[in-house]
Amino acid sequence: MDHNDLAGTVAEAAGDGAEASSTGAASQAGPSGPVRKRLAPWDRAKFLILLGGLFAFVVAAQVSGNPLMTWADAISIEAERSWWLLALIGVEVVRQVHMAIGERSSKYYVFWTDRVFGRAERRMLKFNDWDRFRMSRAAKWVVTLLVTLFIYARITHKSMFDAVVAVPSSIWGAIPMLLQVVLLLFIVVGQFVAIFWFMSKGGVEVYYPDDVKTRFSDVWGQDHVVSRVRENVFYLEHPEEIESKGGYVPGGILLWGPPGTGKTLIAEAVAGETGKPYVFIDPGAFQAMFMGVGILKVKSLFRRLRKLSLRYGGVIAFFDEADSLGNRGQLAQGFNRRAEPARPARDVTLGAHGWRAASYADRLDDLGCNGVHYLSDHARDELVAHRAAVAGLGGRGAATPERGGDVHKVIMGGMGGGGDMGTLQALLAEMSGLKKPRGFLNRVVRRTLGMKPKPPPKYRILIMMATNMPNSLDEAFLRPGRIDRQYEVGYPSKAGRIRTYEGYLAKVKHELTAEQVERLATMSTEATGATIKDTVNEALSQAIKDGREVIAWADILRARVIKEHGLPDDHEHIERERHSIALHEACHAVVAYRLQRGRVIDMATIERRGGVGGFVASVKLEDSMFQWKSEVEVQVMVSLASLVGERMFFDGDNTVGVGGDLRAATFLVSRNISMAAMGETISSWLSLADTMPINPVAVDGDRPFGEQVETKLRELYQRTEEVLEANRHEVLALTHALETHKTIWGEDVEAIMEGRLGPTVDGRRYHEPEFREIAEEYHDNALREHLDAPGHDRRRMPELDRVAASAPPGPTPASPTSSVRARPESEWRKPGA
Amino acid sequence: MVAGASGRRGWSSVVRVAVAGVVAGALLFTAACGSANDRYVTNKSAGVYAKLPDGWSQVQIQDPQLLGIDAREMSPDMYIALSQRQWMTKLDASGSTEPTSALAPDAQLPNGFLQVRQLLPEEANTISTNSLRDLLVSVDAAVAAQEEAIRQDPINARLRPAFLLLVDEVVKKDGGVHGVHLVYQVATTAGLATIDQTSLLDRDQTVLYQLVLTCTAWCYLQNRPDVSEVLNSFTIKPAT
Repeated sequence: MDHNDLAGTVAEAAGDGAEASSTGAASQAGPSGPVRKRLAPWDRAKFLILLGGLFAFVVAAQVSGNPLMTWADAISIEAERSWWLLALIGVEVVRQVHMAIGERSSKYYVFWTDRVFGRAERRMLKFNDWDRFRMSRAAKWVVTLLVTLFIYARITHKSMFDAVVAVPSSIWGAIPMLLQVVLLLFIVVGQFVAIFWFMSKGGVEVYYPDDVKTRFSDVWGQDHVVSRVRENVFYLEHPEEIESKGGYVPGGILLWGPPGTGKTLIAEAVAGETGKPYVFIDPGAFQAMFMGVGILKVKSLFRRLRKLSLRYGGVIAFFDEADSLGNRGQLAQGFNRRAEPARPARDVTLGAHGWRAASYADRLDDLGCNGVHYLSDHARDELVAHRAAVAGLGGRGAATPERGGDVHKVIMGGMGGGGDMGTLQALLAEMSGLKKPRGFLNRVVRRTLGMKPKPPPKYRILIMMATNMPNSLDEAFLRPGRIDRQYEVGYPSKAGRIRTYEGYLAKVKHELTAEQVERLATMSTEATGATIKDTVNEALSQAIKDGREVIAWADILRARVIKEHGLPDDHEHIERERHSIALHEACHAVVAYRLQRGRVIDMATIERRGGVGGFVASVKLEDSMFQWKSEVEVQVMVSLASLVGERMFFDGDNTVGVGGDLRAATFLVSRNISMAAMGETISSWLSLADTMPINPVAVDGDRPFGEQVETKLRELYQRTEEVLEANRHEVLALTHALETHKTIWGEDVEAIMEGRLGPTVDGRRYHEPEFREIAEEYHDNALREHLDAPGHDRRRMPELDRVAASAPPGPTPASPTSSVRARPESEWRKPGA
Repeated sequence: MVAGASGRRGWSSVVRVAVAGVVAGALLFTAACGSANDRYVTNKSAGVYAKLPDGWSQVQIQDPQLLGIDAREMSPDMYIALSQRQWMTKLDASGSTEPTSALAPDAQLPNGFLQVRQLLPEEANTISTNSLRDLLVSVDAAVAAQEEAIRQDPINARLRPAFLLLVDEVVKKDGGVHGVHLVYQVATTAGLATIDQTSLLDRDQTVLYQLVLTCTAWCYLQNRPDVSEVLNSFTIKPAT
């Protein structure tokens, strides 16, 4: 075989991995054939250094402590005693010489790699990988045992053979010590086991059927959610109904919605209604002081759930305030979660494919009806992409200023809430992990005996979660298979609110009529079970303050004001300001009363609350989804009413207190001109501003946008002026009532406007001819005082209604909202006093 | 040319490695050939060290040496107790490794033993520096007997003495080790023999260290340097 043949053979051997593995070094081809790759100096010397160091160590040990020993004698002694070290050094020297020659002589290298090691390696390759692994493992065991035996023989000053013979007796003699060591280890390890066992307990309570008395009938105003939850519980209790038809029992329910809407109550009702055990998991159950305890808790919980499921045929696990479980941050979220502005819980939507956080597709709802679903997919995608770009999706984690000027907060990434690292993942894995055989006997013993492990049983575990922050949940929770169904527990329906009011009022003494309860429910569109309960309790508190045990209508109204608007400051307006503030609010109230549809005035007040001198509050009577342009115009007119009124009644003058109203009016007009064709153009200005490179843009470029807004505002100003001119008398009447009582209810406004008897004032007196003169004269007086302020003797405010209120009530026109019996002024507590 | 120069450098390094290995191996094997192991008498746990001249041998003796006591008169329990409390090495200038008698005064080459013995409590309570002199031979009695013999037969007793005390000195070493060094000649059947006895106690007088070398008087005179080398190397460093 010539040189080329040899090189070819070597190349083949290298290709098989034989050469590299046999020598432990790669080869490199030189001009005269392959040679071994040169070793670095350190690699060449390291074993020699190691063995030399060992020999130096034993020599030093010989010298150490012996005052007579010389180094030469120590080397001599150890050379005799530790001859094997010298032998190893010699072998290493020979090996290095061999390597060094292989680095320089191709023939030498090829001979050894191909003829010597290559053959042995090729023989080894005849074995399969598993056999080679076992041989390698056996060789390692033999070497380890030999080394151990050698050390043992040296320690006991015996020969290797004698040491082998002595091993059993030595082990037998060492058993007491081994037992002590085992006991010590048991105590040390047992302490940790005990600590972690105790720490992995707690936060989980199990209720059995009949432990909880709450029923579905106790949940008011959430009938649609209750019916769906019942359906899930039914499937859990009768799995054959769905499983026999090829389906499966839903594994999870998410109840989400604003606080106080009854999510936990529904869960309690499930516990009360079901025939299965009910496991309640505290929000902080997985919080732990030490790393890993959270995971242990999760595993412990699911072990328990599986046991209960097998024993009772099913189990329900309820995670209250599930947002405390946390999420894995934005990196783990889908596209829709990136840089998502924090939004109220109501804005979170449920899609046809399950829950998702409010996505940009959802936000198309405000671009067109039905989320522009009438458009092609391509067109919709373009809109979504554009909206995402405008919303600043590129900058994850950065605040995104919107065109309205608001800055939305952004949910930051990272581990939000939850237990320690791994707890959430453990929970996810347990909720829908590998369906693997469980148990030592099942897996190991059966396998050892050659039997197949039994498949896992069908665990029927219904996970229920409740949260008012669904955005905080990890998206992986909500995929089908974990939380299959998500139900919004929103604000109760009107019927539900009536039922809730009735329920809580039934627990106290009251004299409210059915009509009043209905009106109350109408006024409280966003009331929840919790707020209704609180309102009734506050009303009872008000009644008790007045020395009564029976809640009256006025107590309820006062309670609502306290709860919704807070308590007024203890502040008395000066007389001039009082009149102007009352007139300001009266103008709002009159325009609102005359023009608003679908809303009623809740109250009007001139009592100061913080920086607000007074306000007129109204509530909507129905849950309407959209506003008409005309309705927006009415809102603008209500806002402008203060400016119009002040100028009308104060000879063209106005306070700076109208600033807030003008800002609202301007915003509404500009926004709706730019978005909803409120002005003379039909283009969407927002869309133009988003897409056109030059900003600002205008369809009719010769006419500034602000001019259109101003034109619209002036138009609405004139219309408002007409309304107030037509209702000048009512404005003065309401002004008088507000100055007198400071706070009046919506029914009082209605009574004054219609000339009826109200809960606080008798509106009939304001329609008597003499009041018109008195009111005009009083206002003229105030106007003169305003114009020639110094030294003017202002006339005292007439006490017209006090006289009227103290008069015996006459027949009043039938009114569904004013059926409260009129009372003398002295019987009423002055609101806010 | 460059490749050739590189190749030469490569081969020269191989030669260097090989030569270095051979030299190192030769040095080590040369050192190993000396077999210095036998020259050191070492008991690190007892802290006893001595260095022997070339050609001397040492053999550890397992049985207790009952000097002056007949083993048949000793109880078995005491015999076992003594064997557990002593460490003894026989020294012999002849190089013999046969575990024969620990002390052969009539030998023609120096021999003897190095002994470390944990004293029995009764011994520790009664032992003194003076009593160390009588551990092998009752020196005072022998001196008195020799003086009496000289009084009765001055010439004959001086020509053939039964006992001659040549050196009797007190020894003090580091660590509170103390005792006596005696050199005396006694008459044996083979002639006059010299015994060089060093008996030491530790600070607490609980451990006895003895180095005893002997041979005929002429032998001792001729081998005095070797004996002195052993005596001078006799070092005690009790573990603290």
